[in-house]
Amino acid sequence: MTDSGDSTVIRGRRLNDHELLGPLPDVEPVEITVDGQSFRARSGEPIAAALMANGIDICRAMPESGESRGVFCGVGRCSDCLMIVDGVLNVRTCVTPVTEGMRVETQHGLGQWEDSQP
Amino acid sequence: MRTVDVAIVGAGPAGISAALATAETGARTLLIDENPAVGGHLHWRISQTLTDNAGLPVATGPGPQVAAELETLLASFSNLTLSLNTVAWGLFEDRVLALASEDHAEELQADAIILTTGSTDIAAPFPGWTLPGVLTARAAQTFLHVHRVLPGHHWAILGEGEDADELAGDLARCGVEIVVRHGSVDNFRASGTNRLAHVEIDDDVYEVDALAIAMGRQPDAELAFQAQARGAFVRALGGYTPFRDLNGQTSEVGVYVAGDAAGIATLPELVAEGQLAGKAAAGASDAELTRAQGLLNTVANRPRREAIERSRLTDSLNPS
Ligand code: FES
Repeated sequence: MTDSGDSTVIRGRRLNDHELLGPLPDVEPVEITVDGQSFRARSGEPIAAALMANGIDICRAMPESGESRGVFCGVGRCSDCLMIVDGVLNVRTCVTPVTEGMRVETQHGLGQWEDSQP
Repeated sequence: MRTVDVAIVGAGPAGISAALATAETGARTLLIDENPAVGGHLHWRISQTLTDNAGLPVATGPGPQVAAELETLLASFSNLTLSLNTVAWGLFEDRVLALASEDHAEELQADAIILTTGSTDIAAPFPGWTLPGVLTARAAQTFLHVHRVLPGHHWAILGEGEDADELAGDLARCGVEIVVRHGSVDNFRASGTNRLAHVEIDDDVYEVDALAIAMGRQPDAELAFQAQARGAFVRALGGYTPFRDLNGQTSEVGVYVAGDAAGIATLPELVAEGQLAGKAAAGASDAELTRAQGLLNTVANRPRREAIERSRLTDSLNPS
């Protein structure tokens, strides 16, 4: 289940070639889940980039208004891209690299910590 | 507490130039950056070094290539240490710098500190500016060139001037459509359900899926102000900037600021100013400093230079 609440998913967003930067270098693919659904990412890229490449633009919903937020500053300054990552709240996804098996969730409001493990 | 001769915060063009200048004198130099590689905005503003190396000691080429060559050059100095993925979050009395990385935190003391912390995008608010799909020019350039992901296929650009023109060129190179460009937030709004779908300018509606705010940048010299350096809001320099002497030293002895952090500058100016601060911080001779000041004057952009002159640190501004 993706919780984007959005009907338009924009596709074809990986910039595979670039006239100045050349072809996108090959890197190990990694698999992550976003709200329970599996997606492919490029190892080393930030979570927000992997999400965007897979058509996901919404990172969280504001605590009171419920409005959506996504990448704004892209460089770790604004906190619009906070999500829940492997159970940790308020992770800045624009500057946090993906790792194999990472569990990413849309953060609703302030989010909720998972029950502490015994 | 660890000590170094010179600590430099920010490994963009100004910081790299400062580090090369201090390292050449034999000073124990530490160059710190929060990113995983040196180069700063060369990685996202990729077209600046295509035809002019701006005084950097490497060949021209796309920004990331220039950055990689500079990293190799920095690595050739055994007295220079690179601390990447490291955030400098505090600057305290007696030039004590607080650093943090994923698994390490420390305070260190330096005889001289050079802040080459760059700039932050200016974003004036307008209705709909918080919608996903609306992002700063720097975010757009970072996603296009560093992460290689397109935030959208049909763009609006808000803002005018060099930064907006640069972004338009970058987008054209990526083969996406620029639907509309608009200069100011007046009568401008973004709309969509959960995500950007339209921009509205007066009574015209444009279908877009990405909107970049390219309204210019402001100096980012927070660490200097945290260390109690004196400064002022100087519009011609882009925002709050510290007063500095001819070499870039602030009212806090041994704390230098150079590059965009001292007032938005052109690339040749960032490089020359970094070199000058580096030489001064490493205790170069007066003759050498005069030469570096002369070089800076030859590449200096007139309005910035004049504004800097007006906020020059003098004895009257810095009563003891
Ligand atoms: S988009 Fe601003 S912190 Fe991530």
